[in-house]
Amino acid sequence: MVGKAALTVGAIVYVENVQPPQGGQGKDRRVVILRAPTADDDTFTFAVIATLRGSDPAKDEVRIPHKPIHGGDAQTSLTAPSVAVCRWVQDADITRVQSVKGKCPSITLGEIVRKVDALARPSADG
Amino acid sequence: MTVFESARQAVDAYSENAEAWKPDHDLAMACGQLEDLLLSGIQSLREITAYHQGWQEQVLSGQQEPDLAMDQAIWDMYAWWLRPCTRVKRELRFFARQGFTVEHAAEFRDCLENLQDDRRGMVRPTTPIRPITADHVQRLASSSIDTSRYDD
Repeated sequence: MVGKAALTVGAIVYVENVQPPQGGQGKDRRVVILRAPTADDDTFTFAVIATLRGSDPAKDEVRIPHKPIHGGDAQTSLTAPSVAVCRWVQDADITRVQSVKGKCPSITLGEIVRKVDALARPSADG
Repeated sequence: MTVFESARQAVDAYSENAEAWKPDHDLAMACGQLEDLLLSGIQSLREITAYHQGWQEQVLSGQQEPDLAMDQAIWDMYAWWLRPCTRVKRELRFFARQGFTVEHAAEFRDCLENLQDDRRGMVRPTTPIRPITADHVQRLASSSIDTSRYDD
């Protein structure tokens, strides 16, 4: 099991059995942590990371840096163009974390958090 | 060749070498100054990044109040860091053409490329970062997402 101390905001981790929002088959997925677990709480909140489709992210996505080299980007470890899906936000228990993959740059994390916040606001039409 | 001619030839050679040596020396000094500049650039970017990360962790964990002015100040610091980079890159190309191996050049280029990549498509923030809560999760739970788009 991955230690709680490694599960900080911005950490990119592999989580097992991430459920689609409308139900269906769960799948192990790479995610970025938006709320870290605490001493009293073993759950954390994440946004799903997926491969970028097309050349630009959709309105509810934020691009995460990658490098198409062995080992991927030095910080994120991503090898393919990727996005955080800012509508696909869920909680998970720390026992579901399979491994820590990397770290989201602070600039990118800020953009993800702002977009999640904006999309969750009652007035958001997006 | 007389002793005088031999001495004059030696003086001429020395004098020419000295003239040629000075620019080389100046160039080497300038290269050293550029290396110092690169190192201070790398270190200052590390400082901004560490501060930014610490600030975000504190805000997102509720230890600090959200503060748009601080978010913008951090954004501006990155922009300020990027400002002289075009000139620095030009200097790096110049010294490479002169045959110098400039210390810290590769790391500096990595820093620059990564920062430009991180900022790609983004603009100066107009809202502060706020902690993500159970409310966010609940409100987004009913979002309509075409997950087939994300079947990697």
